[in-house]
Amino acid sequence: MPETLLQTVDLVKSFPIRRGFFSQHHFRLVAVDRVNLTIRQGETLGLVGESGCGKSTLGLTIMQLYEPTSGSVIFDGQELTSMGGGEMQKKRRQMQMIFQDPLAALDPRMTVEEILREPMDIHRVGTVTERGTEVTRLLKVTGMPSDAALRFPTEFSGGQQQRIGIARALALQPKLLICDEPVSALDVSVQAQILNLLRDLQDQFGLTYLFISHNIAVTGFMSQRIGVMYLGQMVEIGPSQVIVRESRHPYTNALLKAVPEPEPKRKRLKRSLLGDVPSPIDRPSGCPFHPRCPIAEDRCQVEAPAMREIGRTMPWRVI
Amino acid sequence: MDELLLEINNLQTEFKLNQGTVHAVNGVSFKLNKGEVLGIVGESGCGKSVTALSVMRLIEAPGRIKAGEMLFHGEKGVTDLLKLSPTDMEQVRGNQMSMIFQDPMTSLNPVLTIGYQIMEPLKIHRKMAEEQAQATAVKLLERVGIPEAALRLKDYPHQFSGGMRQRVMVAMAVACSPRLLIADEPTTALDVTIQAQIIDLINELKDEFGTAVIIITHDLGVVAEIANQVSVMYAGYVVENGPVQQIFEAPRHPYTKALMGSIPRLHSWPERLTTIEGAPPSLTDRIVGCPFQPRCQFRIERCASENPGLMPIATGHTCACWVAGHE
Repeated sequence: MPETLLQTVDLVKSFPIRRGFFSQHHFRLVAVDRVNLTIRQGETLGLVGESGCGKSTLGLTIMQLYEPTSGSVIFDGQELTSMGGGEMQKKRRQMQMIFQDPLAALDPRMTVEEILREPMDIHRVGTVTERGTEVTRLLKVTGMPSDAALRFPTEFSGGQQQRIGIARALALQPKLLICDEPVSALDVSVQAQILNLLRDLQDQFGLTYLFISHNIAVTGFMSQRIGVMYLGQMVEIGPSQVIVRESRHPYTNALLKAVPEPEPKRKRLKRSLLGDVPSPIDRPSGCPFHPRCPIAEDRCQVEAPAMREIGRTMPWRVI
Repeated sequence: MDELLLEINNLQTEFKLNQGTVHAVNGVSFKLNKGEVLGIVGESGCGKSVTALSVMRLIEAPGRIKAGEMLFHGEKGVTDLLKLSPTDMEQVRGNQMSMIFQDPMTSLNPVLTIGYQIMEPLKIHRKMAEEQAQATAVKLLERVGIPEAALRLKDYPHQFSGGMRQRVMVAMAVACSPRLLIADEPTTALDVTIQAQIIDLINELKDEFGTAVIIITHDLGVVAEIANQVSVMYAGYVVENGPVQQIFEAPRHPYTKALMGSIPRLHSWPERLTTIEGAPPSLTDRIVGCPFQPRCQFRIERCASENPGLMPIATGHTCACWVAGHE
């Protein structure tokens, strides 16, 4: 079994909220609530959930771009939460991020070459000529034309911009790549190109991915294991095949049933889930899913179920 | 017996910009029967939304509908929507045909109450008095699943969640029981569980009011779910047209085939997804030959010089391809 690259233990990220200008009451929005996960070397863990479920915040908290409120993040055997700024900066070389909107993530006034060089300049990797060669190599592995180096991000299509974002993330030869909705803004045929590219790069460089997406079909294609989040909590996590074919948590079931499939014969069962996702500020008591849950019992309103293991590898959080 | 509702022939819409003329829709034709659902699919920039806006006659300068015929079988017999005066068109729009947009926040007026906005078409088209319109609005809101509808009439759009706003949009759109409902990416901005609710709602209302629906989306899953007929668009052209079952299970056009292969599915994970090399053509250039030809792996000599146009390949199934059409 390959070794664990990343582990989070009871990771919590909450934000203080003040309602009203003079309000004395301070609320806390718990965006990530006691999340435990592990990712092994070379593996892809997919993270799915609807908007506001905390999946992006979890990614940013793992990167230490948000300071965790409590809990720990262990990367490559080292605890990140207690690290100082300088040490963390060095560590961050090994963990990089790809964002949803590539154009927003790329500086429009920098050429592609400058964008790809910047991380190497900051971390003083190699000599100046070596950095130049590296830029050419990065463009090549991400399938960009070599004359792209001197052009600006806005001159490229969305798919190519995302390739530049990926090339920049690879510039420091990271071990872990956190992909936050990397294909959500792209058309399906371009999405397919980027997904294939990410898989090729993983094989080529032995990368480990945390793949965040609201699209469970895309996540299934990319990941060996899938974690499902709802209102900041991980409700179910397990091998992709198991999650998609025999998920046990009622929320995962509802999510799967809601996905419209491109097969006219396989029509969705009607009315799987009612209502909206509750606000994370007014989080329901007990199990956060109980107001929408089709199988909720009285107990669910008071007692939050703990994650427990069922079957071989699947922890499950339900009554 | 299938009763024809809308017949679009050779619709062409263009936008005159400083950089040149954008040929957004290049001779689109389709037919829609009463109570049927037509799905128009394609990637960004393929002209699907412009087609919808053209049917609603909502194209504004610098755009214009250059040619075509849009025969609408309305209350007063068959009319060519393109020949109607703007005032006559206003009698049709919002009354006999209505539209739902992608982003309900930008298409609802933020400074008017929900009640006012739902009652507006009822007062204008159905000449209802305030009280009657109000009662109808409450019924409509209840019908689309807004709890405590009577109280919420006085609320403003920002007081609703995204899914609820889209429900309000649907209520407004069906207020006058239109014959045709055009939904342009109605669920794209929504989460999947909310998307499922809105699709169910559109499906129910369609059966209830006997409304025909044109649904425009890039999501093939949504189309498979709701449509009877599918038109696949590419670079302003319809490249394939047919019953949903045939389009999904036996697509004939190389573009449709590639599109189907490029979506990850829930129940089968291939090693690789199908990709299409290259990029769609620029719409400012005049396209000679088949628009998909530069990216097509099955192209023959003829494709570069002659646009195939839609040709029948099976009952109700047409495809614009020299190769697939002559298999």
